[in-house]
Amino acid sequence: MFVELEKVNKTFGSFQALKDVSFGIEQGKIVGLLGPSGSGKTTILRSLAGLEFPDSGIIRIAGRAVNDVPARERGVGFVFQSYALFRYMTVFDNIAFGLSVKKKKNGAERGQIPERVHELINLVGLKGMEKRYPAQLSGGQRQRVAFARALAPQPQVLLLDEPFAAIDAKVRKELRTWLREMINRVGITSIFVTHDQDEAIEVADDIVIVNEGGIEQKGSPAEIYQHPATPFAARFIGQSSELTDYSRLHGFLPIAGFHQAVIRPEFVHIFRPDADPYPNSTDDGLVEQAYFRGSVQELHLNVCGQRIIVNNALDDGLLSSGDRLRVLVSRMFLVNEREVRLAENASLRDVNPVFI
Amino acid sequence: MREYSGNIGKNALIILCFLFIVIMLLIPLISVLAYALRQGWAVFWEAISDPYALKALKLTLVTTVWALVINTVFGIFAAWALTRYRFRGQHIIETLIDIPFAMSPVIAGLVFILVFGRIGWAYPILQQWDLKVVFAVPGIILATVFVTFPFVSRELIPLMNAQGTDEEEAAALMGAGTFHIFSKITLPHIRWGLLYGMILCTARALGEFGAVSVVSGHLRGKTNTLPLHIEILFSEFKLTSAFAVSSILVVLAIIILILKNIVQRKGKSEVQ
Repeated sequence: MFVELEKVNKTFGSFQALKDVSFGIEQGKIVGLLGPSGSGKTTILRSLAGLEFPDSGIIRIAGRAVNDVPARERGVGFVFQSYALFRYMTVFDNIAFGLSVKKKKNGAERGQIPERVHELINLVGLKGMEKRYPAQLSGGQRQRVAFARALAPQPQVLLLDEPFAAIDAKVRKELRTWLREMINRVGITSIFVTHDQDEAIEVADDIVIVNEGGIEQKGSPAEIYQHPATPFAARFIGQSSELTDYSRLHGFLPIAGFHQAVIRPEFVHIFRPDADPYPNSTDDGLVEQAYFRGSVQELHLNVCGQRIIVNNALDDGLLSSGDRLRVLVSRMFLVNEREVRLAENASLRDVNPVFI
Repeated sequence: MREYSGNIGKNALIILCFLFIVIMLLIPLISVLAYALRQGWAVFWEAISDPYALKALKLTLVTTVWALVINTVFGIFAAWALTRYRFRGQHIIETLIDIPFAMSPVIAGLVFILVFGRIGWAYPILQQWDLKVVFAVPGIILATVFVTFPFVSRELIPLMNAQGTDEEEAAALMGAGTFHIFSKITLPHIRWGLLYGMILCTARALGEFGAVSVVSGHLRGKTNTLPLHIEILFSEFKLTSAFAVSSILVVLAIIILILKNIVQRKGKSEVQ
């Protein structure tokens, strides 16, 4: 593993920010630390950078334990949430800063700084803006400068703290793709922090889900989405409905020890009452709220007295509150305090037996 | 505003402000200059070229420079410590910085007598090194430093809090040393505020009377600052001389006021 944390603990006063955090990251991967605010994900990032120091545990970068290595010698590039561009320096000077500090210590390589800075300015597509000050740039342009500045001293690892938080929604999507392409082109091992699951799924090769100072699950976005390892992961990823009385739905029997169920919108299928292909597996549903979301309609259904969220694909037109439907739940995640179990709709299996 | 106060209210307030400032500030200042020149330029010139007046002016300037240098350096350190680190007792220190604003300067002077004077606990130590603080120049400088102590740090603390630590952390991550970070990242941000604080500090140091009066001992030509000299002249009924020497301080104050305005405007335009 190129970057590795081993049983890292950190407390701020009486608050335990990190609890036995252990995980590893392969070289060249983009990893997203995903969790709610206050979960400790930023503390992990800052510990890697050397801006915070863990109370116990080991942090390794490129095989070297860096616990006692000061931030500037760790070879990490850091992109701050606010970008932290030097506001009294031009774009050029911002990007050159790290290089000129290094140059002072090495003596040589003096003439190469402008060359390297221009190379980076071209890479991030800010040619012609060298003489501007951060205040004269848009949010997206600032992020590009921050990215170039972090890359300038050729770090081994790039760390990004909520890289898209300060950007308006419209540009954000564009920048995600841009950032991913840039990181892939440079080939640098990157770790970013986010509370936005779409962002994590779109940008990261691997996602680490962080909650209450601990690691819930690490895996590819598909793995995490399809096979949540912990109740928290099941609830946090996807826009889910939670049921306490899942056995009232058709095809699900109560299982001892599991008192709650998490249902993703794609587990739910809706039919008009007169066109129900699985009458033995469906329940009655009443549309309580209908929200128009553009490409889909988000419906809040009342099924057997419990709320289930589903997306209506609009193929059969818009629905409105008060409409009655037939609702098929094909599967659900059963959760308790520690475990997650996938449950399939049993009646569906009976209706469509497959004999080979 | 117009909806509920009306033009009458607005104009009345403005006139009131003007009247107050003219009566309380402008007329006294003008009368100082007028009184000083009442007996003509020759008498005026004689009063301010008096060797004791010149010595007092010199001492005032020396004291001001000392106070300014000490408080600038310390003010930067204090602001840095209070805004860049979290530690126990932080709020206590932040409150303590304001003591000179809250306390009468006379008490400040008495405190130095209690510590360094003949009855003070530090007196024997000073004797060993053959140092004189009270009734000597060091005491005057100490008292002035005490009184002007909060100006620089009070200007810097809010500025540095607003700036945050992100830029400094970013620079540190790239390998910049503390001094490099301060001069390249922090200083450009705080320079106008720093200058403003220094100007306020200078203005206060030039005019300080109470604290200095207690520790000085009023030794003419030795420990007399300009304000003390004026007071002595006044109590000897040399009114024209007193006002003539006062006019030096008034002119210095006006120069400082102009400087302050320039700095304030520069600082504001930079924020935008």
